Amino acid sequence: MRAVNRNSLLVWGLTAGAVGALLFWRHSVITKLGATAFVTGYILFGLMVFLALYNTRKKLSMVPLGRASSWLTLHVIGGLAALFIFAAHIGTFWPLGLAEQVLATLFLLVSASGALGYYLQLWLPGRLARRGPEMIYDRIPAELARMRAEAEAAAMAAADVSGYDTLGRYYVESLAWYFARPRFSLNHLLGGRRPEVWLRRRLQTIDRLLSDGERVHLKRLEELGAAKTALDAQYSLQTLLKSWPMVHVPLASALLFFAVWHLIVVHVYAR
Amino acid sequence: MENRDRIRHDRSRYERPTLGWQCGRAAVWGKPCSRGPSATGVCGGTAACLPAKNGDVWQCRRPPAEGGPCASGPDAEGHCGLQQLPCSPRPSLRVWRGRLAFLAAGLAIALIALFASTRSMPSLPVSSLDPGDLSAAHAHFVGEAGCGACHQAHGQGISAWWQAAMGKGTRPLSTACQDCHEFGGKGRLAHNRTFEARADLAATDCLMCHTEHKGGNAPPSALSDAQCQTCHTQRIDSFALDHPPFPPGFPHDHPKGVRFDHASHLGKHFADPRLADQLPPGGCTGCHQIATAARAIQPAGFDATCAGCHADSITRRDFVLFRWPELASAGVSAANIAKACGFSKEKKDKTEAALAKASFSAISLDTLTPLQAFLLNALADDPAEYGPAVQDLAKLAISDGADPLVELIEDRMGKSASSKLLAGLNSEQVRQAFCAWSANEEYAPAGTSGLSGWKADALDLRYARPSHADPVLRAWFDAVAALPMPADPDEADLLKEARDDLLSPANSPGLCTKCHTTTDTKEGTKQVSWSHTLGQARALTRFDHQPHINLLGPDKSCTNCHKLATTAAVAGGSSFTPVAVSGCADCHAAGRLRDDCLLCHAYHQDHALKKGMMANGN
Amino acid sequence: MTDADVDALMANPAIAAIKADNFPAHIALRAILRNDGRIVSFESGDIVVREGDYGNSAFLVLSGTLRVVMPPGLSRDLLGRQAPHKKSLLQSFAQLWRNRRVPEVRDAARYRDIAAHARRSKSDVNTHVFIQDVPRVLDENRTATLVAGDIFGELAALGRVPRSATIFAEADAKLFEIRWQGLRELRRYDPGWKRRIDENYRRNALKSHLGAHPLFKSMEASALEAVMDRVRFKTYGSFDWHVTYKQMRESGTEGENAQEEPIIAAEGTVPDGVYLVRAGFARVSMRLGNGQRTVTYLGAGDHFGLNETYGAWKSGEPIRLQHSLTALGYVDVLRVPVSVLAKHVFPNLAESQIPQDVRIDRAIKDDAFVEWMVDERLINGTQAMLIDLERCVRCDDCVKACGSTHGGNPRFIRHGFVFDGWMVANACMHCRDPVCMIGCPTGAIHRHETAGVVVINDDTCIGCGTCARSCPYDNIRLVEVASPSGDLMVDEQNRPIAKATKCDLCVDQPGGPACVRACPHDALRRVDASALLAHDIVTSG
Repeated sequence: MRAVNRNSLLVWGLTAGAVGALLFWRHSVITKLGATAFVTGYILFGLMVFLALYNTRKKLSMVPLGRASSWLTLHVIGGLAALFIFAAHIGTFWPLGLAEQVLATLFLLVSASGALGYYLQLWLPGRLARRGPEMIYDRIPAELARMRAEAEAAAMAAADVSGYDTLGRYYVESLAWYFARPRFSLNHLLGGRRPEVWLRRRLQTIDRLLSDGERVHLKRLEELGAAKTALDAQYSLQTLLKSWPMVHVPLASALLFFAVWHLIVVHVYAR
Repeated sequence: MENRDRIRHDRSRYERPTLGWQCGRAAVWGKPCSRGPSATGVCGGTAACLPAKNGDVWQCRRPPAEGGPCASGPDAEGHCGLQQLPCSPRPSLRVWRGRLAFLAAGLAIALIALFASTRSMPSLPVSSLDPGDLSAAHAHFVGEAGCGACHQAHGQGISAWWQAAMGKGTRPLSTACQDCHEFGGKGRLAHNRTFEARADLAATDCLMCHTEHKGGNAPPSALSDAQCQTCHTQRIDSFALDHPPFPPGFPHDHPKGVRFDHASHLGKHFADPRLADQLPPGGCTGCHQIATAARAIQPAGFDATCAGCHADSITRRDFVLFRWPELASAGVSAANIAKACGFSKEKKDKTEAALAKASFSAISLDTLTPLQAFLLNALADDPAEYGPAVQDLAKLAISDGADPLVELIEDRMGKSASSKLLAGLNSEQVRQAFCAWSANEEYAPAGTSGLSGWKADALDLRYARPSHADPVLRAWFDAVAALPMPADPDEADLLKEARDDLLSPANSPGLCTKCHTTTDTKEGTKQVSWSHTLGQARALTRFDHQPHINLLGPDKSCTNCHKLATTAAVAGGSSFTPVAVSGCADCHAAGRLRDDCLLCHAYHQDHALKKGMMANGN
Repeated sequence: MTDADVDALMANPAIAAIKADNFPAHIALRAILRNDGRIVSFESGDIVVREGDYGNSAFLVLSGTLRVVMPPGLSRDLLGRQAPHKKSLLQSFAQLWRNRRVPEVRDAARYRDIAAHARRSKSDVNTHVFIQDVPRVLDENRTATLVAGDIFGELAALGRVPRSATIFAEADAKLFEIRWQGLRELRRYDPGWKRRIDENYRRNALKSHLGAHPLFKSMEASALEAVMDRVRFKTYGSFDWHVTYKQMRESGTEGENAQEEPIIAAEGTVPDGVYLVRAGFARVSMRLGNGQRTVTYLGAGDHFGLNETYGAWKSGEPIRLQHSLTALGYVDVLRVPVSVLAKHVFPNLAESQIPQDVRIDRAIKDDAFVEWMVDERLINGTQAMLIDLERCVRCDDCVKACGSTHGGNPRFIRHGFVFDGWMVANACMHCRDPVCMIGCPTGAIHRHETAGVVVINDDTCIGCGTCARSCPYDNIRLVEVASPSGDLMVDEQNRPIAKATKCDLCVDQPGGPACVRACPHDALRRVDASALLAHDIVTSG
């Protein structure tokens, strides 16, 4: 099931073949003094429109337009092919005109963000699944609020046992910060253990000041802290998974308009 | 089990990511309310539940997920007893993404529109039309016209753009090139002139090879070998290995304007100790001026080089225009001669006696020169035929001087030529000469002159003591060589004979054609090459001696390539052994010096800039 | 039921025939009648049972006449079913703008039409759907008459099969309704009821059931008759297994294992026949070390013990069972005795025609997934939503696609049972044994006519929540519906009107489940639990 999809292998092969054929064609036409920029340009533009249609496909999920996974496969392969066609189209590494520089910059940024996103999509789900427990992104604030309420309750309850507000004070001084909102996001992204270390140190600090009765509540705080750490990891990784399209999609939308402008200018000026 | 509760149908929240709004409390990590923001992002309200009336009593309907019915319960009017502060909902990440996408699209359009509205680029430092800098060469010429110099639709509004995009109403970009550039031949024909007869070849286009807007340092003329190899399909990956051999005799096989036998001069004459003081000093560079070296290295000219030995051989060869021939009888009466020539009585009588039929003995024993025969249109060796013609001429000349001769030359050789041909001719002397000749006497001019120029003397009218590059003589050579063949075969024979005689290398007047070569023209005439180097040789090939000399040094470097042939017979009649590809490829090879096509080959024939271009200020 | 009711009932001839002495003291007849039965009355036109419904009770006609509608049966409108409509491509596209941004918007006018068909019963709290034009229905359909003393509905109650016909009251009728528990006791202790029920079953259902099994498929009719006569029925476990299962789960004792389940056939014993599962699920397990290892589970149509029985017949030596068979919740089993098989079945079959029992050929490390599937009763699913969490990028495209195909409302929630990187999400699994369909008062929840998936007719759903509470997987949600302006719809008592909602597998959408199509990473699939285990597609790798 997690094996490589045979169909996508086929598409990879066909695309590689098509791009190869295009590059060969371009080579042979250029050596015949033919103009290839129009052909590669239109193919590239068509491909870009097709790549953009992937987003439209998502909005039209009620219409049977094929599986989104097939679309994604084509989107990824098409995006990679577009890089080659782009290289064939501009011919050099870097265009000279400002308009074309903007276009090329956008194209490369969109490609790079797409590649990054694709990599993240391969890399993060496994980590999310292994880290667990699974949590719907939109529910994280509520879950966090619930944990915080429980943690506060546990810290307060300790006072009922001993008559001292040691744990309550300590919670306000130190642990409240941790339960206030997701913490150590970057560390979670990098897979570090800082939150665990931080939490253990904080809990050890107070442990020696507590009675056995209070320790029951400290134990509860420890459990909640561990759960909160896991929740933070979910939040951090899922945020990244949801954030990269915030770069990719807007840039792609700008790119399309610049590409249309480029198309118009070329038709008016370059013939 | 908290894990189970999380998925219980009545305990867990109904997640609707389709809505795109998030409770404002959740956004600051507080507890979101169960009634959530509406689809339009309005807070779900301050009540925790919507109480229901059962009988007369209002009942709390707080969902189990929120803890079930609350302790306070609804009031008597059915308002929820658990009021909470309203929040300001926040859009979800996806909504933000959509907004950003719209923003980016709007920004793109705005930027394009803002920077496209400028008509001429220099007025704004940035433009959304900016295609990159022009090459330095073109950048200087677009001037006021700006982009419009080449791109017609530039700044012409939407309709012009539309037409341009549709390919209507505007001329192709390639024709704009030819506003300034012209060639020896059709601009859009492969190699301009080379394929003039090939109507089957498709038109070429400037843009096939030339690209602009690649920056100041990237002239459109920079081309790649691959572009040449489009048509020249014999693969040449390396000049050293793949270039076809040069023609036999190359590069000395080209047609030469001046015959010069390097072998005999260098091998024989220059070695002669007697001539040592007359030689140009310094070997090759004694004659060839390396200071002006280009494709050819011109010799310094006759006076500086050849004259030392050969000046005399020119002046010795006079040009005889008219020679009084042998006549059977006198054609003009003595009385008429005497009258026309103003003879004295004594002289008249003497003439009468000399011309008397019985005693007439022709003063001249010569026949006509071939040129004379052509001019008079009569056989040179038949006095019966040419006699009347000569006598008719004489009849007029004795009174009108050179005029009849001028008329005759103009008649036979064209009107315009005569002034050059007969420059400096003394009409009176001609009249007097004819008077003498008609009187069957030799003409003896009054006083002798050693100067060059026209003179009548004895039985000849001659151009004496010609100098090198003499204009009159050159005019005669040019005029006769350029005469078209007459239709009449007899007449043609006469011209041919006259021409061959005049252009004969062995004994032409001034011995011009001994060195200056003649060539056949397409029209069937001939042409004398007065200059040393003939321009049209290998029009698509270029070579520059200068860098080679600069690099190799002026002294012995000539013989690095130009080696005197040891055997006499070298193809092309040259005294040098041919230069081979390997000779060039010693240096011009990958990793050493340039070895691309364009180093030695040109695509266009006689590329030039149109004169109007500068004047128009374009 | 009051004592007076029970007394009156005891006087009824059908009940009076029961010998109360046969019942043990702790399961007295009166107690059964009292606890497991009730008197219900129907007005003329009220529908008593609906064709296709699942029910957990049988009925004894006390008075009045009822009509059994013969095939082809009543129109789906009268039954409260939803028309099997498939959207055209254009209609599916039109959802782009037709979908509401406000959640759960409904057209109130539709409900008013429907409400006219339902009325509250006089005798109990139930709502009855009634047929308005009884004479016309009688005119247009072939019907049979049921009169006082007749029993019906016992097959569905005991055998967990859909009601085979619609029955409605022609004239006002009074019925004694008895729950399956009571019915089971009556069958167990009263030979008369047993005979009555079994004969009914033999007559109506057994032939088709046996005939579907490869062992009996090619048998001659006479031999099949002989087999049918000797087949034994037995029911194990609780009919309302989902109720006890949920209670068990809530009490935290979900670590139920094979040892505590009712044993149908024990490993190491000599089998007394071949077991055929008719309904429900049974666990096949084997002893390993100190515990039981689940080999697989059996569902309707599966058999157990065949290889041992056949081997014994072939060799003449008794062969002991290799595995145990235990009831998972509720299971209805047929036993074909050895003697019948030896006489009528085995001699006529070549060895190659004997179906092979399931064998275990996986490593112990792969057991966990099977155990999990069985313990969570996920084996019930035919269209379980399985999400590969190691692929899922949590983009919620599946949820949004679901929303876009359901008027803007997602019909599942992307949470659920998680095991080792796999999630069975909170979407209707379209169970083999759809316990949600038991007890729907209006027949709103039903199997789709053509597709067979379980759907809820929103128009006839009264939001009672029976199905949502019954579903052991919490896959049915009650929502409060709103008018297009976003105001909650409320009834006379200011209570929001609720509707049960769940995944309908996009039965009306072209192109199948939108969630599957919408997943860009092929992480989400709808799977049949049995196929999932059989192909080992999850456990491998």
